[in-house]
Amino acid sequence: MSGLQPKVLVIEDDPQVRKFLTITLTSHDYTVIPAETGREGIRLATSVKPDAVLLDLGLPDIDGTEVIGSIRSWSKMPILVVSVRDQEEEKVKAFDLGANDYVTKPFGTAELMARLRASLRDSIVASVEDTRVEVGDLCIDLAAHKVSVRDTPIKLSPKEFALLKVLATHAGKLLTHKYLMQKVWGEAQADDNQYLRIYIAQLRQKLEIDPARDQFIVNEPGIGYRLEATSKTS
Amino acid sequence: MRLPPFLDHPPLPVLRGQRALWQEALLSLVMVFAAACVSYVLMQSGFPSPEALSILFVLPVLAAAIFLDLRLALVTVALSVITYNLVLLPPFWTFDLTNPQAVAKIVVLLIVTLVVSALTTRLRRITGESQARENVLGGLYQLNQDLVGKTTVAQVQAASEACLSALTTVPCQIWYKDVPVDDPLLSEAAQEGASAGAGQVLAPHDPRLILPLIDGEKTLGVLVFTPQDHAPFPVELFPPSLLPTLAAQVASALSRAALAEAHEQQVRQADRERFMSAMLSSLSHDFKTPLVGIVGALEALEGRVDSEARDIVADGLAEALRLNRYVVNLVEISRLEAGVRPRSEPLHIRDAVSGVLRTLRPLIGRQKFRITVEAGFPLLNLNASLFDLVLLNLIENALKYGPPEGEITIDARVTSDGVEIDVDDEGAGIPPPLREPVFTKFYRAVEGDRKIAGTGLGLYICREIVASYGGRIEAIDPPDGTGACMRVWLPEAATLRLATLEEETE
Repeated sequence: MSGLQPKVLVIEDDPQVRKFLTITLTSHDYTVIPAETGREGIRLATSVKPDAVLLDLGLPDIDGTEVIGSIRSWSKMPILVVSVRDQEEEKVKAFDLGANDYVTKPFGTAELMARLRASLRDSIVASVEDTRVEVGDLCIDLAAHKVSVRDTPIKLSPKEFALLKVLATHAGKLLTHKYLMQKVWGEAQADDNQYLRIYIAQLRQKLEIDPARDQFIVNEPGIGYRLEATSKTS
Repeated sequence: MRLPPFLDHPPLPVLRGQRALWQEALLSLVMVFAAACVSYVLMQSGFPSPEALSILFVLPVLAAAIFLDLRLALVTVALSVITYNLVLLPPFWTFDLTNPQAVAKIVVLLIVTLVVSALTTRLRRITGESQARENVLGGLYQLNQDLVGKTTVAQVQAASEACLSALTTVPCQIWYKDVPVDDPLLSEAAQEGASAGAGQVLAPHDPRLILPLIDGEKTLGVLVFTPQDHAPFPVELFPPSLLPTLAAQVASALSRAALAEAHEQQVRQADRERFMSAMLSSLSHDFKTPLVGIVGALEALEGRVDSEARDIVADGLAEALRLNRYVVNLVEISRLEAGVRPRSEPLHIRDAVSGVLRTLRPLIGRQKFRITVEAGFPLLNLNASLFDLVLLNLIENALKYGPPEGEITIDARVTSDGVEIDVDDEGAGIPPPLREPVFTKFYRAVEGDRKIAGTGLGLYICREIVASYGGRIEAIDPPDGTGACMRVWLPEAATLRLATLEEETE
């Protein structure tokens, strides 16, 4: 980032939430560009060229998905969608249009920051591949093909490891069903994600030694999966 | 009702329906007698060629064949021939067949009268048939006229009943869809798609005439003519072989109306859902937005205060998240009650359980979880958020009512007709008399000094959600003997057949 603070365009109509986002992001060394409406957001996205966009789907003037379509027509900048729980169909639509990730209201600071970091990392330093990935108590050695939870070694089948590897190399980032299927099973199977769900379940069975605290793989209904440490809120 | 002009003339066959057989027989006797009288008088007054008078005896036969029962036409033939012999052939007043000339005359007369009666009978049958065809066509036309502008099933039904009753003069009734089961003949006719009663193959002695209403391949119901006062169904007017044409017309009108009704219903439901959806979306948005502010503010505070204040802030956070769960429950209840059914998708039970435990992480203390999923447990096919809400409420209850260091068991199994998921805790359990009431709306577990916070909506919404997928949820006798055990059963329709996994080589 060469010393420059990343710029985040916040498109949110509620003043309280905008204020909270501004304070939180500023305190984490981001520069915030606030926008109240979708049109203003699109205009600022073109003129300021932010590093990431935080977009509320429920905007007063135009539909949030329209904003995504408009930005995606010329830029690949990461877009994080802020949605409420019952906007599922819109959320799926947002992903089809090219949104990168989302947080659901009400979200915690830690969650928001983790998502934002993950999407910026991918867009700025996507090539750095660590051989060791640690996600909370889960440790994955990509080179040695070894996996352990709290130092207990876990034996995985090659397919299970391949799947975990894809998730681990993008730790924190939401990966769509289609992307995961393509990476692990190849192009031909990309549309049928039954295998994916079954392998994820097998992974869970092996990795979630203590179901109460080992939720490393997060299911995002209708969209995909992500690998993430359990957030430490409260 | 105004009849089409050709129906204004009472058709020929009606003439006889009003007389009894013996009256007709008398009539034929009178006609033959009249012919005999006329020929006798003519002969006595010196009619030049008595042979020509035999033609007079053809007339009663002709009249009988046209107007009387067909059996009587043959009787009239015999009567005429005998009378002819008695009156016109010498020796008079004796039936003498010894004279070959007389026998020849009688044979000629017999042949002529038979041919006349056969021809006339045939003519009469053809006239009758074409009359009936005309009646049915006229009826069809009338029915079409009456059905114009009838858009609902009830309207079509009423109009068809009125029209057919008036046309056939027999009261007609239409059973659409719900054919009365207590009348075996009606249900049989509907099931077989065959006509029944009044001379049909099925129950020919039943006075009613029952016609199935068939549209395409489907039997929609039955049309029943119930003659009153023992009068038979006017088969000459509307022969049963032609009535299916009318029935088909009624059937197609009914199915058209049913389609239109279903479509309208769909449009109305879609409108309603759109409206409710939009309203609930904005309601939910309005509730959640302040919560974002509260959670955000408290989290920001958390890092900046001493440890004592941090506890207070953490409590505030936990409460805010609980409030959020209540809001979710409320919104989902309103949505379910409004009949909005969100999109279904494949969901693995392990994904659901893990996600719910992740959400409830702040509430989990020293409790242990044991999760077992039977091999071959299928993917569920339902809305993930709704199903999460079921598990969330059940597990939250298990955490709330179970002991701090207890074990919570989640057991997913395949049954013969679906799947079963048990959530079992080690708490005080639910006494059997309360196992049903806990699912009622706003039920709160307040017993003695036990009072645990809640809205009393949790289990109610669980039941609503599970029921919307055709499943059941109940508090059962805990298999391990302790605590409460909630059992969710989902039918096969709410699951997806599991694909067999490819063999993996290590």
